[in-house]
Amino acid sequence: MSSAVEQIEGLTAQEYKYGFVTDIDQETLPPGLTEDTVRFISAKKEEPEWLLDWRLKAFRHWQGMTEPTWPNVSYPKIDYQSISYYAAPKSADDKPKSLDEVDPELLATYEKLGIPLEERAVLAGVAVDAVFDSVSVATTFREKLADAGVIFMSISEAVREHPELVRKYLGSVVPPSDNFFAALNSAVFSDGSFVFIPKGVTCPMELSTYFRINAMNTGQFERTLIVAEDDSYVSYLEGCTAPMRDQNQLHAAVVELVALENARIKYSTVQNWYPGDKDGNGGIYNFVTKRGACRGKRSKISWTQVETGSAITWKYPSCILIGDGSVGEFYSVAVTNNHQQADTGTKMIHIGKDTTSTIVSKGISAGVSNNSYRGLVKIMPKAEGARNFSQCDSMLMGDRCGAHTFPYLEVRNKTAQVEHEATTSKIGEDQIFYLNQRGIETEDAVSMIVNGFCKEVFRELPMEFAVEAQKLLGVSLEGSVG
Amino acid sequence: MPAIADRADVYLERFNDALARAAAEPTWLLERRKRAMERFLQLGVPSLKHEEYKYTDLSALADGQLLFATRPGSAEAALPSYVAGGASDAGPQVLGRVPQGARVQSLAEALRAEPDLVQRHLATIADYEDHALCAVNTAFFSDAVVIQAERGAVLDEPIQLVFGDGPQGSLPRVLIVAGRNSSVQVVETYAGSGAYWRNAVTEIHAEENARVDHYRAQVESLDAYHTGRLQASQQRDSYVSSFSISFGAAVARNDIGTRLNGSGCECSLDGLYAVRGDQLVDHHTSIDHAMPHCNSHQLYKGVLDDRARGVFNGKIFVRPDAQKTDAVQSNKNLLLSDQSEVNTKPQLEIDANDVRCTHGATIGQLDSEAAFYLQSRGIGANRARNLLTYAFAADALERIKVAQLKEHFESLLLNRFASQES
Repeated sequence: MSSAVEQIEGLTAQEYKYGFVTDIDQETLPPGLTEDTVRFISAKKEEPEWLLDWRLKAFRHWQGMTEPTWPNVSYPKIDYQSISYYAAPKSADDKPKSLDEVDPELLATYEKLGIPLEERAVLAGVAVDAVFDSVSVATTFREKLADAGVIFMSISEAVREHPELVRKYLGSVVPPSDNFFAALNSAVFSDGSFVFIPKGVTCPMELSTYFRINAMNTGQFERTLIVAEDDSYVSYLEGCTAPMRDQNQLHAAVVELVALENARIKYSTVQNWYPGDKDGNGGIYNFVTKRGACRGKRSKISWTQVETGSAITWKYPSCILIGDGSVGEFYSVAVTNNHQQADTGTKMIHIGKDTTSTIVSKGISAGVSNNSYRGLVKIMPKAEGARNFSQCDSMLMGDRCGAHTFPYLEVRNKTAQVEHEATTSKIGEDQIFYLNQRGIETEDAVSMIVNGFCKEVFRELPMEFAVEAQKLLGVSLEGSVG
Repeated sequence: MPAIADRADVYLERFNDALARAAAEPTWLLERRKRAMERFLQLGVPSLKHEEYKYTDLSALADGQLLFATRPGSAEAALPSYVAGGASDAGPQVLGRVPQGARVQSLAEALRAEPDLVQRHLATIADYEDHALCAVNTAFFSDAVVIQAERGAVLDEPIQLVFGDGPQGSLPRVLIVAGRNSSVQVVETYAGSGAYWRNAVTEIHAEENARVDHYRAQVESLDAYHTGRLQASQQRDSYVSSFSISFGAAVARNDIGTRLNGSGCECSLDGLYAVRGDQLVDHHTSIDHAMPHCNSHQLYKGVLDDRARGVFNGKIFVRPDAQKTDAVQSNKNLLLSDQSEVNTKPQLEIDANDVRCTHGATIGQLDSEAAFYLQSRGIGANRARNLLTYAFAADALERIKVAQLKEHFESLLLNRFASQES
């Protein structure tokens, strides 16, 4: 054990690999949040009247709300007036038409992250709508997608070019008054992605957005909206890394998914924001509202997430299963180390007949971190023949970490079949020993065991992500085990 | 919170009466009662906004009318057969003889005989600081039953307590102290008629290597509120089991908890609830693994019919020092009708790494194929349903070690649906 403890210390002492700051002039709003801030953001983005009204309404609602205290996390009180709510790269006015026109320093940032935009785009066939802080600076493969009829653009562009679509769906899944952070996001959201897959179209490539948090003290308020019409399919990847920083940063994103009849949406996330140093200083606060509505018959929404970063993660990707026979899935790996805290899980609301949901959650806690699973499975009275299976496993490494599960099962229909099971255990010493005596170093053994533990989730990830996820898991955990 | 204070006026008023009645009690007990009252006034009767009570509406209890203005009616007709003729006006009836090695005393008797022991344990195990209903009982209970098992005494027969319409009425209080190496079984039966609120608290203290098997059979009137708290405190190598049977009451809320204060402890909290009509039954359990090398086991099974609702919340806490903990928890529910409802929340809070904790929850219905098979063998539809319901509950029933108790509830389940064959 003692040598393992030393290893933990050696490895957890590793500095955050992806911590650096890109030096680009930014047009940044001074800290503070008033109605004028909302108006400024809206004006800056040349938004129509209805959107400004929508934002203001959300803002007024937000003012009357209080920050939730029920999550199993603790952090110093956030001063919402000390945050700057808008930052955009200066070159925003003349947007680059292709990668060549993109600020080379930006591209270098992606290089450093190991996500070479053009290479990835070309080789992997992935269109990347890279969000550098608040404004989308590069969008590739737009034409190819346009040929298929797929709309993939930043949400502010979409407001200009497809106002009718945005107006119809924006806030229809996560209403502006939904919760404290969703209301805040609705008031000040800076940018995000908009995806529209028309009827019968299978999106020809996997769509991807890379988020970066770059400006000092700037909260990032992403807004993502994905609409899949009848019989369509899309797979969307979201991944993020952030520069090293001392001050806590707030990230309050909202993601809305709408699936109509027979549509399928697959939403995958790899989250690796700066988790703070090993003493728990700094790190991102990740307070996200993600929700998908399966509105049509036999529609399907699948969430897959690998959460390794952030000082505090607080998110519950959910599915509202309205259409008969619709399917919701949630696959999650959440890793916490050092002083990280994660309170994450899902909600499956069964409303339609014969709806099915699957929840597989793997929590791994190391160091002095706390990892909570919090989930709700609700079967409404009309949901005949609903079926749910949940499995939440936790693995504990180190004797000062915590694993918690809070599953809520609410069933109001007798034809429902709901199963929930959870286990919590230590990483198997005998397994490590076995691998050791086969000549495998402890470190590699741990990596193998953990990867095996998470396999059910990883195999749900698209190819491109699965590799990255395994790497991330390695970086986050290697050696933090005894 | 002025609104609560207003409604608590009746409690305050009655509290002065209660204090006057209890004037002869020792100071420490009066202090505990006053503190409990103070806490109750601060906490109030929990509302639906309270996370622990989000599915169980106790607003009818807020004004205290049900507690002070009504009392449990005669239980004679409602008593289960195994205790028939047991309840009397003389207090909680102890059935049969008290086994060798045990003492069953009233509060006054116990205070005379063993003041130190009572002071050490009464109102120190069940927490009234954070639990309003426990605070109400602590502030107001008029008498208590104090059960002691002598050191090394192995009691061959269960001690049966029947709470009907006796003087302890609405606020039964029981203290069980099991001495070193002793073994004791206690059965509490609650029955009554009419509309009333019974708020019971039982405290168990298990000394080193003691064994306590506790059964609570709740067959209250269908118009009654029953709230009960069972809290145990376990010393090393002790074993405590609790079995909660809930068939009665309009609204039943059971809080069952144990704290494992020494290593090598074991506990088993089990339950069986079968409700119909508009009944609601709510079980909240809490096992606090404070020390290493302890095992806990929980199995709760529920059968819900008509518009009945079931609530289960099981908490397992594993404290940072409680290595080598093995905790298993399971809640299984059978829904027999379209309008029945189950809200279950098995909860783990684990702060130690070398542990094995599992929990599971299932909600389902009778297997129609199994029912069809039985019918194809010539067994009527109702009888088939009875058999399958019984089969569902059987592994929980198996955990009842008191034969009369087990047989009684077995037959209740087996005859649940009218047995006339169609």
